[in-house]
Amino acid sequence: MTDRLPSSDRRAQDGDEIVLDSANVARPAGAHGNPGAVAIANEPEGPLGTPGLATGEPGQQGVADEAGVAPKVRSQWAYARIRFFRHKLAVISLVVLLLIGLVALFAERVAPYGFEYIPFADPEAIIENPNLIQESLNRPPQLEGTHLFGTDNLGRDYLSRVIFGLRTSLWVAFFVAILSTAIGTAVGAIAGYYGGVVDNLLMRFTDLILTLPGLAVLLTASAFLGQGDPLKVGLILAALFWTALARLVRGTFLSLREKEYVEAAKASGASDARIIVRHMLPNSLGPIIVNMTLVIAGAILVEAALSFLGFGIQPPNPALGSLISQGQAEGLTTWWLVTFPGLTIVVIALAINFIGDGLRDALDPTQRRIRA
Amino acid sequence: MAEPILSIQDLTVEFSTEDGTVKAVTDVSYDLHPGEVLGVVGESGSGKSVSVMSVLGLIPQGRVVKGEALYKGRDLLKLPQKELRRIRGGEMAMIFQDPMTSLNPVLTIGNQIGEAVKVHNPDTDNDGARKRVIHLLELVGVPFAERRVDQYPHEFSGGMRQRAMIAMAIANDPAVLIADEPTTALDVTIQAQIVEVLKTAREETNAAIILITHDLGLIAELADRVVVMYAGKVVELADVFTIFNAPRHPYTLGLLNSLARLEAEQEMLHPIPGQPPSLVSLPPGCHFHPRCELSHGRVVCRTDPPALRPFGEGGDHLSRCHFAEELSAAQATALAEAGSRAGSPA
Repeated sequence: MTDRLPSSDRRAQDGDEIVLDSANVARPAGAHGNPGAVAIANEPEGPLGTPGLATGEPGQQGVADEAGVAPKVRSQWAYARIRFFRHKLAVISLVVLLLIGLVALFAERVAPYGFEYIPFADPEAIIENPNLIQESLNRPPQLEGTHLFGTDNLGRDYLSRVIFGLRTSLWVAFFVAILSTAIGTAVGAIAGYYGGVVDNLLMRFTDLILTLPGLAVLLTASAFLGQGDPLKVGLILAALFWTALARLVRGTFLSLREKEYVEAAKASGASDARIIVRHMLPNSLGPIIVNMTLVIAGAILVEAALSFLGFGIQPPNPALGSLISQGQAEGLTTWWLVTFPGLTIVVIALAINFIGDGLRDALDPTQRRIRA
Repeated sequence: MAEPILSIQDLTVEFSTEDGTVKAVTDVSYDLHPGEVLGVVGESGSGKSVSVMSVLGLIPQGRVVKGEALYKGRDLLKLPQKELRRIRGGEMAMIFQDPMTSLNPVLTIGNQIGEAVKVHNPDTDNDGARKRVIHLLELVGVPFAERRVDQYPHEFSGGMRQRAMIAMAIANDPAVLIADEPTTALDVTIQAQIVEVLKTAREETNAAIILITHDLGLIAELADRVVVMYAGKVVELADVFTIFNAPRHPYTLGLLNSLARLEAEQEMLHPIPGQPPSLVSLPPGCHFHPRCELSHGRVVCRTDPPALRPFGEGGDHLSRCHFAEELSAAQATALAEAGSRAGSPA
């Protein structure tokens, strides 16, 4: 098939010419006046797509080719990954977050006690040691023994409660992040792609949600819809958290839809859905992912705030926010009840923010791409 | 001559802008015959792209005021979106101007061409699509197609990308191929190769090609017939030899004279004086009269819009000029001045 292509004929001829040329004088190809020879110098396009390599004689290309000199085929994502791993703080944060995630995931195995385990609940234990109740209540953290984070006012192991609280909070945070990202992306993509009336309607609705005083709505909604259930708390949070992403995605889509490759996809007969999902979404994944990390951090904080105010996850289910709230009620003497869940929140929020930073730098389109 | 495969009749397209209504294309009619290459030339903003793109429904902001575009007896302008989509990329495919931006940076070349295949042949499995893509890439002269197929656009040079775009366009054996300035974004040496690829593509698919360009060299190389557009109107239509040897419109002559030529001793280029008119407020009468070197300020040019009149035998040479007959004489003078400047097509 290829041999009847004019261009390959020409390449062969030009190759001859260059060989001749270099036999006479070692003039750089392309410096002489012969337009045909210039053509081959300017059209490397050889096996490697690397300018300069094709200026040699064709045989050389083949050798280089078999030797595997070809530059590694790297996708945009591969480059992004490399850049991300250069960002040390982000990588450390990722490791920390993964560890925290694993602890939360395997809470039953990691935690020394159950989150509701009260040592003196068993009458026989009290008979055995009459001072047990006094000894187990509000014990400060200690390195020896089993209560690393101390115990609370019911004698429950606080480390276990923080670990289980972590699980609840992380679960809610990821649930909110995924759901709100899905809603925000869908709304933003449709508004940005179709524009006009659709855009106006969706964006005014988004503005409306944005103008609502967040915390007040959250409090009211959770009071009405039922507090305490992590799923419901997650739903309520997600319903408020998608707006920023919707505007972001809309903006990205507005600029993407003018891109020529979108037009080209249209001209090749692709449907709207296909263009949105296959052509435009992958090109806006960067901001979406970064935003998702911010939502996770935000959701943890807001969920903590809700629980702290008593409208979030209800006891005995521990959540980081409600743990702080209950600890605070105990007063300043039991400092560990506030400090440990608080520190946990700080660590998670920081780690996620650093990861978001790293991702933003890695996915920033201005930092990558083609040197044309 | 055979029945035209695509017949555009009285097409008028407008854009609404803040400055007023832009008449991008006014009463444009031309036919495309099977297997021919129809060149559409004109300055930027002359409506050459809009006239073609609007036929495929690719100008969402534009409003088709009137006219029809008959393709196989069906008016494309009245087709529902779904059916138009089936034609786009299937029977009528496009090659875009800038291969640097017309390929999606996050999808591999194989993915993108394969998509064009799969959109129109939903039964094709991934393997079949891949084989087809490799075949197409070989056809357009991409070396090592087996490996190139998995590469991303940024690993392709400009020329190779344009080859990939052409491969994408011919993926479904189109009957009509629309090439919108296919060589403009490439450097000159690559342009010559892309012309060869276009010729191959044409042989391979037997498609009729609409070649939109302002490069008269490309027209001379490829086109069978030429439509010259100015300010949204067809000003001259003839076969390529007539356009180059005996143009009947001062604008066409101006275009030819403004070509830079290497063989003639020529100190200065001969541009057409003035600027293309604003499409919001077109000059009355003949839109070209303020820049026309033939008009000599005659009143009729400023008051009466000229009609598209037939010339020569068979009447397939059309020109929109009141004084087209004078052109032979004027042209002779111009030719004498410029030596062999208005030479013949290659």
